[in-house]
Amino acid sequence: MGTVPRRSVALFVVALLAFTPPVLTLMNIEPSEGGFAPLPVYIFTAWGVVIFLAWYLDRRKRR
Amino acid sequence: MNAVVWAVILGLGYVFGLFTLAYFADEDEKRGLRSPMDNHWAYSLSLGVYCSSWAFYGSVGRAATSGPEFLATYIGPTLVFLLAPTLISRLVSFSRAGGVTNVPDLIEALYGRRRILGTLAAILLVLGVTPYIGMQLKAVAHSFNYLTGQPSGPESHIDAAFWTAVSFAFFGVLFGARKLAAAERHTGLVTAVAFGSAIKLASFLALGVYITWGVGDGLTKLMAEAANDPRTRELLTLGGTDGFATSHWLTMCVLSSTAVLFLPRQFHLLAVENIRPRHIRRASWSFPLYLLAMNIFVIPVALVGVLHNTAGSADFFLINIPIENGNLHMAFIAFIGGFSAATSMVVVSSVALATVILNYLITPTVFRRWGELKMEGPLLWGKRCAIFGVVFLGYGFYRWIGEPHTLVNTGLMSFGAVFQLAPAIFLGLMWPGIKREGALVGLASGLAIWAYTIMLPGFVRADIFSSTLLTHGPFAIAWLKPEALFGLTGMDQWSHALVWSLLFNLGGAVVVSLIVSEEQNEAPLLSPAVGWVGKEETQEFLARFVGKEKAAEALAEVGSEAPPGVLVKAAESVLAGVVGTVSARMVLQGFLALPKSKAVEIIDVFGSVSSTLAQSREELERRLRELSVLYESSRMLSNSRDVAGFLSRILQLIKDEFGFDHLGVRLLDPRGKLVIRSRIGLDDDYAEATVMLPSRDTMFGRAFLDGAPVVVGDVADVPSSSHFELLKKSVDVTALIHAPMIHERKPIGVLMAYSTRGAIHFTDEFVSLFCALANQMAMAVVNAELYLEVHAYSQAMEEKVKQRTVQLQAANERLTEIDRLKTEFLSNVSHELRTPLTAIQSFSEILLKYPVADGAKRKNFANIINQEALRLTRMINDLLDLSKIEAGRMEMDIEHVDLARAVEKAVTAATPLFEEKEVVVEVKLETGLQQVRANEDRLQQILMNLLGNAAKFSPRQSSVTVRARKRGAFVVASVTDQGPGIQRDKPREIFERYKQQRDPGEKHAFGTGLGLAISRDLVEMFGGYIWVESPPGLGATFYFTLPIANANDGGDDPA
Repeated sequence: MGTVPRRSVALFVVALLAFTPPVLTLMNIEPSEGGFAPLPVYIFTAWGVVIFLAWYLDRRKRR
Repeated sequence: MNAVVWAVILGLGYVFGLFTLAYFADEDEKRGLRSPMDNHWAYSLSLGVYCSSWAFYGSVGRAATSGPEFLATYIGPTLVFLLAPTLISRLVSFSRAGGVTNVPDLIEALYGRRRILGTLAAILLVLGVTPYIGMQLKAVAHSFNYLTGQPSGPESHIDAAFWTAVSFAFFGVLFGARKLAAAERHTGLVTAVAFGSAIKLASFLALGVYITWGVGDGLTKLMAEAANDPRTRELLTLGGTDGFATSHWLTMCVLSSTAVLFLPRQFHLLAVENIRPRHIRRASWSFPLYLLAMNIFVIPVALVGVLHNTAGSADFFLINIPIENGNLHMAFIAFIGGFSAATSMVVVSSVALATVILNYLITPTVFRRWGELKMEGPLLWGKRCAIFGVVFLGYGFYRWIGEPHTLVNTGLMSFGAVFQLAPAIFLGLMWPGIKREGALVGLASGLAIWAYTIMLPGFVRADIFSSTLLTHGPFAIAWLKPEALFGLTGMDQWSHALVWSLLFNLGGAVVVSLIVSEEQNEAPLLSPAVGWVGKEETQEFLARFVGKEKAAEALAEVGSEAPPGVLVKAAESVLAGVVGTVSARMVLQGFLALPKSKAVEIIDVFGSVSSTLAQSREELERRLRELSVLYESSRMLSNSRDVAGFLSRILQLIKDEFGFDHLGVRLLDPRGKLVIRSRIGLDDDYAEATVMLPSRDTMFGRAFLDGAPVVVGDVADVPSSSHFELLKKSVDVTALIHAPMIHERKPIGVLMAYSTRGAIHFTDEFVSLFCALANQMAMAVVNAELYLEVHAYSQAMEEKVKQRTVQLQAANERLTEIDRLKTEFLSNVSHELRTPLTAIQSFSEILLKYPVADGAKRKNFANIINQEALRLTRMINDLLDLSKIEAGRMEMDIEHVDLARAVEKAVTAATPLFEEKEVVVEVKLETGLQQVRANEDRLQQILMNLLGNAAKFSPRQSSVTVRARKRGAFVVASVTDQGPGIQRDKPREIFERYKQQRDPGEKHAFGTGLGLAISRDLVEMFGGYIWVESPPGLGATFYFTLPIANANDGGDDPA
């Protein structure tokens, strides 16, 4: 397997961990009185980071 | 105008607009313009068809009841798309290589062609996906009714859904079955889908902003309010007060990740409509980005809906929130967004599903019975009917079963069905040990479990079966309860179904594959076999399926003498667009194997193909195809001496037969560099940039130096290098093969082929065939070059022979002439010799026989005898001189001679000759002439010759002038007479041997005709030159030059 496919598989594994129960359960926290809801914020942030990393890998491959 | 009319106008207007867009996209493509879909954004947008009205309306509903759990259906696809560079690329490239057009095709391609697996997959898809289509109709109907304020009873929904179904089916036909398409790709359809995805995203974002900030009080306040409200507080965590149901989350992730690949609409857009492999890599982030954007406002909208106590189902908050706030415009925007989501989904799904039904369920059964010869009409109408059938099957589901089901549940039901295909596909792609039987058992048991645990409870809820089935199990057997199979409880319906179906499906596939013996496995059908067919036959055959016009059009570019491989390939692509790849190949195989008259049996091949016969025939036909390539190439090679011509013809043949779009031949040039001598699809820049000495840095260099093929099935496995990047800049290569061209154990070049259609598995047979082709080409190149060399050499030789022949001919003519002259000369000489001899003989006889008393007379006679004898001597001396000169044996001393004295002496000696004719001799010499280099006796001879000549030709009482003067380093002497002159075109000929000026009227009193020739030879031996000038009527002047003697040369060196 080439470098890029290997890295994309690594990213997949990291993302899998981020979005499955152990980590997700950790982040499953009741919202604060002030309206900060950790879980939705975590999911969307992590989602965005994963997309950014996928874009970064793809961009490196293109160069 | 009321809202009903507006909604109908908007809906129909939207679809007509979409159709116009699709139509022009198709037209552009026909005209050969670059498709606007040829970029990764359009590709990812078209994949956005994943977000149906479930995503548009249903996610909000889900978020309003269960919190962020709905996100799992988008996290799953995001995760699987991270594997785009590996798993999905492999899936797509395999599909493309196999000409796969739908999921059952893919399974057939993986497991052989007995159609059982494909048919099973087709049934599964129809059962699984039609309810999903029904739910889209429901979504449109509900949103329409909310928007138009219709009484929301079941009756009015059903009415709206019916008309939605009619119009969607109609548009499905318009997009997908207007005519029989002779291509796998539908640019127009993809353009419309991508546009629809953009519309629904824009609509959702607009609604999200409006509801969050327009209706709610902005994000921060909204969240604070939600956190403190007991109704919404638990919507911000997973599971709320019940706790996080991890199994449900995981199940949703797993189901959605396979659905995003294998739902008919997804697979069609992902694999069939993929234009470039790199778009898949880009989609690894751009498609998840689309999903993220589609979901970013779902939670805020759901929170606003709940907090504001919005009426109606939570599924339709997007419509109802604007309506309750009096903003009908926003409600219409929401309607259009949901409508576009449903349209794309229904149109693509129904067309894809109709194709599957037609290819796997209708064609094999119906056409087999009818044995129809003309298929065009039935096929087209069959497809149209199938589209209507699929949409109305969906409508039926919604009408009689589906009303109590939510959008999300029905969607998950589809996902569950499609999931059953995943084990067979992934195992087929990844595990070499998988067997057909294993896949069959796995798929069948997966289908059974799905039907039992998901579909059956669905029927129960729709009151079709008694609810005791769920509570007590069938026949009161508790461990067979559909939702607690084998006593498994404590998880939701979906997880329960997933666990069991995964266990039976995957487990069955693996266990059976391990048990089944090796022999029963058969190779998958990947390539069409090639027999021997003609163009006319093929066209006639195609016309039965697509009509005469289209058949002629499809084969228009194929030459009438085209090899069967080309014909079959063209025919296959036409047929595949009509009946699907697998059916197309089966039909073609039947066509190729049987004679024309058995057309009825050909159609029969749909249903019954004996496996062992087919297997051996396939093997035979594969060999035949390879042999036909070899045969065709060797025929070209043996016929051709033009290297560039036959190389490009063979590359074309390889392209046609094996589907490589980029090919090249590199040959070693005299500088030792590998230069591309012939190519297809490789650009000039690349060809110029890679002229280089063979080196191990390049793959072609390695193939050349090692004398062994370099085979790369997937370029992702190749470490990047500067040379490789150079190649990638020119060609979007995904797999390649290089074979050295070896002649007499010496490599002379490299044959290169590149594929852009994804990874390829090169079989050993193909590699050895490719190497054999390369070696054959090597031999042909060497032969052609040798031939050219020999040809050039023989031409040079011919030229030389021609020149020599001309020279020899000239020499021969000259020799003949000389021979003739010699004969003539001999006759002249003998004649000349006889004259004095006769005189001597006669006068000596008189003196001997008769007493001549008169003393004066006797003296006179003796005088004549003496004179004639002298003449004879002179003539014989001339002859001797000449033969000496000719033999190069003339020897004489060169000394300093006084020319004036020599002239005086000669004139004196010649006086009697002149006096005879009363000719006056004038001598005009320049005063003070220096001495010349000559031999005195021979100079005398020259002068005597010239004077004798002058005397001979001078008329009576004329004059002869002798002149001499200095000119540079020479003295020029001349003798001028007033005779008839030289009447020749070439005055120099007079000096040739044996040529003589003859005057027929005069007796030859003097000379043998050798005098001038001897004079010329002598003058030239002295280093001078002799010539004659003869102006007409002014007599002739003979000139000769002699070098002036220098004081310092001895004057006695022998010449």
